[in-house]
Amino acid sequence: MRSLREVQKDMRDQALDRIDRTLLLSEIKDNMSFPPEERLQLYRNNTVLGLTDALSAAFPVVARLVGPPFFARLAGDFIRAHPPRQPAMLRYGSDFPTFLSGYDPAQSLPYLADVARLEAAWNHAYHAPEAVPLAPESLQSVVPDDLGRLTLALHPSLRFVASSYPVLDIWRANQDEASADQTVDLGSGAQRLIVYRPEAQVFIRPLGMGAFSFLMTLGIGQSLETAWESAFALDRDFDITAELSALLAGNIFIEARLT
Amino acid sequence: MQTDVTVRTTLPAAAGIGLKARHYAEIIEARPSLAFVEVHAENYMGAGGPPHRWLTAIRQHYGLSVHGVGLSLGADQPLDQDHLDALARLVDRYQPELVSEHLAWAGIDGTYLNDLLPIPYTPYTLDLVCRHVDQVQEHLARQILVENPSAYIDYAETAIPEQDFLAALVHRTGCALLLDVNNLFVSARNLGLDEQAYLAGLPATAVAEYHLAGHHLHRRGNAEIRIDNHGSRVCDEVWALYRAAVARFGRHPTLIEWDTDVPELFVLLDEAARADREAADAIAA
Repeated sequence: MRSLREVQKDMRDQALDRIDRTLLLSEIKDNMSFPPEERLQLYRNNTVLGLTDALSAAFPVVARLVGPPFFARLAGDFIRAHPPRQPAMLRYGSDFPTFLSGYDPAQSLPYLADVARLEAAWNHAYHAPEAVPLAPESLQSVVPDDLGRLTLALHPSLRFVASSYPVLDIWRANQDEASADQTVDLGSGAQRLIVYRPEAQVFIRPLGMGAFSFLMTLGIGQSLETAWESAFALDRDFDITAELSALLAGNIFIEARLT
Repeated sequence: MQTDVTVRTTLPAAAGIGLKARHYAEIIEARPSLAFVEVHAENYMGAGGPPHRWLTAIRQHYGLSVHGVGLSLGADQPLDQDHLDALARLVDRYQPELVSEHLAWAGIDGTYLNDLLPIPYTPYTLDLVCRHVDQVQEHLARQILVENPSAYIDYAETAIPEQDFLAALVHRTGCALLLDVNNLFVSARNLGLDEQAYLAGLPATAVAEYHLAGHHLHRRGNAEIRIDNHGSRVCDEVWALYRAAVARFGRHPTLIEWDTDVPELFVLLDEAARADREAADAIAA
């Protein structure tokens, strides 16, 4: 008699189409009107269809861009290669963007993996820890000579997304509320985004190269002065006063510290 | 660790519904009369975000049952300690009146199937599930309810009827039972079990909650199989079995589950109202 653990591993593998279903038939009673192979097939369907629905809910724009038949095939391939590693499905698909970037059948949509990264960032922000944003006026008490030494902590929900494609335009054109005649110029160039959730709602903001670099530098704990230098090196027109007040008004920071 | 004594109230013996994201706002605005709401524990295991904001708001007005689908009590391996810790944090945060899990397995060896699969019933698996239920109850410092599964297969190895297995589990661990009437009906029809003998075999005082849901009848020629998809109203045969269960075990919190093609809130409220009427009829009969 095989151990339960061995039987469960075989059932897992048949649900993921890794083994021939008939290997399990000796474990199943065959006394009902529906044949055992088809009964086992129900478990396989529950797993693959259930996880396909979970992926489609987490990556609705990817699903919409490729259409239901292609998405079913794509999701099936992903599920077999990357089945869930945790019992909670909230984070399932975090490696879906990477999988997509190497997925040959989708090569005709080179921006697809970037759209998936944007959706993964959105999912992260949606479930991220709560943190109270820094009030925009809270920097007013800092004396000007100290400003350069200031460090600003980013909201824990915040993620950066950089794409060579107009990924936010693609995302917006594929929301339910988008008008049907909305078109996207794929040649309109790169977009750099931040995705974050200061309160109940997830925000996506496009940033210039300077502001993007400025925030990334602040994000690793560097001072305002260092962050400004990094931004200015990439963008000679970077206006720190205007950019900083816009970012403060956007509730992107949670803490200011003098180092 | 918490050292103060927690006063745990009980849910009324009346109907509640499974809480769905599409109904959050309407429940807060309309405040329908419901004994409780039930959530899948795993859907609230994120650190923060709208799910927690809504559940916190709804919890102020309703009783709560936390229903786990991921502990994999029947897997032939140790429980996932991280998952058990996450469940404990959730229970600590929301202080639900009921906490339940399944007599099933959902994953093995680090891979999860997002599904609840049955286990064979043998002395070995009884020891295994008892150990796991003991561990969960110790970790959560409270009694849990264990739910009977729906099944499409019957293992050749099974030596103990499911109701005897559950009775032994109650006897050995002190857990309570969540009797899913639809699961019992689906399994009974799919595997040729006698549902009345099943009810008679469960300990009379162990049932603490009922589940009710719709299922799909798949026919091909003379062959048929019932698929437990929670995607429709409760069928008449399941209502009849519910009345028989209430007649034996008494009234208890009763959940209307609806997980695929979730309808408008009023449909769930209508089913919940019917559950209350059916239970009252069963007691009066």
